[in-house]
Amino acid sequence: MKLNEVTQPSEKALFEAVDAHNDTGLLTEDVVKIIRSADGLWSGPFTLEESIAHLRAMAEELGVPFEA
Amino acid sequence: MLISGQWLKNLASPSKPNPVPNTVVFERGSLWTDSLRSAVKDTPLVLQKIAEFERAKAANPLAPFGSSDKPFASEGVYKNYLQKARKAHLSPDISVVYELSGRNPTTIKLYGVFTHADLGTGQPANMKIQKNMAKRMANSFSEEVEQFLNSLLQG
Repeated sequence: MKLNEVTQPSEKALFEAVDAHNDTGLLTEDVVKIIRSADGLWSGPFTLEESIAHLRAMAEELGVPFEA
Repeated sequence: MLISGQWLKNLASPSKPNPVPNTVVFERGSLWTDSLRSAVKDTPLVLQKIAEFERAKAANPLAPFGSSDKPFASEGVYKNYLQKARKAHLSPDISVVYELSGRNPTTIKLYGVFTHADLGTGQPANMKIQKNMAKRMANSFSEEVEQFLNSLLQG
């Protein structure tokens, strides 16, 4: 099974998709937990000011103009 | 004597509180930083355009950022994987893909900054690229995490 075969958003659909291909020797529920723990690697919320600071830092690092 | 309607409304509800301003926050997906760096190499002004985009969305998340700011086409591949995602042009060839949710705070999820070629939406459209990219954005796995999990799944 390749990870990109598992794109089911709902818990039930994800479980079934993993279960159908799970030849790892691990319990499917454990594999689902691993996938869910890494799923949606979002940064966590940040404000506009924090984002502008991030963009400014990137601009400095890459040596490109940035006025904000 | 002429009395404006607005004045009468104010008189009718003198203690009506002002609406609470909506807070807007942003979240970056795992493709965000790499895609932005890649776009900046070819088009340095993309950083400036992203700042303009974020300022506009922070002021009014529902207002479109230009005429191209729309959800993906309902019959397209992206809509299947990213039901709520939208894209807005930052330049003729570069778009930001994002998603809005909630109110106070409104969260703006930033998926990435992509060219038409990245998205498979150039001429001609490349459905294979569209499907792969849609899956990557839907999962928001980093490449490293994906490799690790694949190795785990393959035992």
